[in-house]
Amino acid sequence: MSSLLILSLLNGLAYGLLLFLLSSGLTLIFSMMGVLNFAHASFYMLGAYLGFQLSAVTGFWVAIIISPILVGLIGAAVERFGLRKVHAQGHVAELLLTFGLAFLIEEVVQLVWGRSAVNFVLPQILRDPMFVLDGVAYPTYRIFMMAVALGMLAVVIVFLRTTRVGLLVQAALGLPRMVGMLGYNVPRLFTQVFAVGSALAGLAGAIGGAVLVTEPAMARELGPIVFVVVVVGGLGSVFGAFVASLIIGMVQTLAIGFDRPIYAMLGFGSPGEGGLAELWSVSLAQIAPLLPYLLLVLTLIFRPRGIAGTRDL
Amino acid sequence: MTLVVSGLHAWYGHSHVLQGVDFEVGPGEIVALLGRNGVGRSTTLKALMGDVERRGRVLLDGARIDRLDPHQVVRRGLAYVPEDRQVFPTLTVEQNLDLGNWRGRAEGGWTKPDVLSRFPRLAERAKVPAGALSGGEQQLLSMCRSLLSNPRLMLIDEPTEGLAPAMVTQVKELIVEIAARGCAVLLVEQKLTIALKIASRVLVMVHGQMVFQDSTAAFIAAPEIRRRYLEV
Repeated sequence: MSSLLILSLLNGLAYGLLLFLLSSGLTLIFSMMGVLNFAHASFYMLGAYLGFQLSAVTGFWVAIIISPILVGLIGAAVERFGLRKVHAQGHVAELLLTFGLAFLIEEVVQLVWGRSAVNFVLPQILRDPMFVLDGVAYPTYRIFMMAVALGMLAVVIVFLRTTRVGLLVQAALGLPRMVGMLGYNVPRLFTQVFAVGSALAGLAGAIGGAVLVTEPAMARELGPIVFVVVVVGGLGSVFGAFVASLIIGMVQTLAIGFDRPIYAMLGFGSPGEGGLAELWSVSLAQIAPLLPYLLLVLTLIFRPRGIAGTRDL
Repeated sequence: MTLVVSGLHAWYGHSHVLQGVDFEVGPGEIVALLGRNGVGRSTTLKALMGDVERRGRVLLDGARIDRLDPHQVVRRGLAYVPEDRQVFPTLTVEQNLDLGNWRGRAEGGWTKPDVLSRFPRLAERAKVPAGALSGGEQQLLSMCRSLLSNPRLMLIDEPTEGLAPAMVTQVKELIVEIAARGCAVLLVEQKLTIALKIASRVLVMVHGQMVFQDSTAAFIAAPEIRRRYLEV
């Protein structure tokens, strides 16, 4: 294997795992409450900005713990005092509320931190290279990101499988009314799940912000991809979201790492000029941003329950 | 346990389904709620649970429960077994049972070992996802699950629908035992022979109102009621 391939795979893995951290919360929220939360990526952005701000005061390590907790509390408040109020008006009202909230958060972030990117600086230990491959240094930071995401996956899965609250969440993913009919406070469970989902997004922001640039547009850029992960992974499936995140992370990173025109990929010579030549000369990197959405459309048409979903959308 | 219902109305959107329902259920009795399809029997159960928009008075041992959410109603001592069973398909039989007991710890009356020893079939399949059970097994599981909250009144909707005869017998015996052990049962049942065999009283509904309430013996002695309100 060439070192370029290895590095691209590692980058794809790191990006995919970050996507997973971001989307695992949304898949629980979407499956359980039916809320298409447009503001989910905004919580990710808040996590990044709060992480940046707190780093200056408490240092990086404490900041990446406190920032997700704060974002989780904000999420809980949004659910309790916003979504729960409009719940009776149906899903469209909920969707519009989160849609508005996403813009609101973006504007607030611009007011507080300005329009350009902030300088989110990592501790030296994370900036040092982990290893050097064919003269290319691989940053420790990306390995750290992967470890955190994998650790959270383990925590979420163990929690869902072994604790009583985890069982309730699983039960409520498919039949929330019945869970209420067995004596459990389902609205409160919703608030808790929403808070945890938001906190996971906040954690993704806090640890991803330094690498992926902390700027006001970061939510808008990543938001749609997160929906692709949820749909492709399948409703109600954290594992499906995991697989879908890795696929999308890999596809996007590899397409950029192995950038070639289409004609070369298909083994043809240069098409020269004129006619369809320009179409043939489109490069893989140019197509890369389209691929997740193509996957989304194909999934909806051919496999509406996604990779591992428990029911159709 | 005494349940007193008076002037109960319920709506599905603009559809006014229950139009002033009055009845009572006494301690430990089995009351059969009869009527043709669409007269509001299932809605009556849902209205008692607080799962539909409703108005009226529902008193459980003198305390009003008609403004409570479903989970609060359950915590006052009601339990509900829906028509479509609603077992959690991806959870195991045992996990389904565990969730039936909201207290999270065994407390008198019905316990998990209790129901597993009574139904060996469920015990054998304790680690199997509930979605893999047959319809009859799911029905038993759904009833046992609700039973583990040790309710004082159980609302059971069409428990024998679509079941094989052997299963019907088991469901029937379980209902009789539930009542014998002190939990009253309000039963919506399509099969008249079963309802009349186990119920001590009969309620008949038409168009969202009660048109008959009396002992089972009085119902059997009044064939014109059956002809007018139940036969198709």
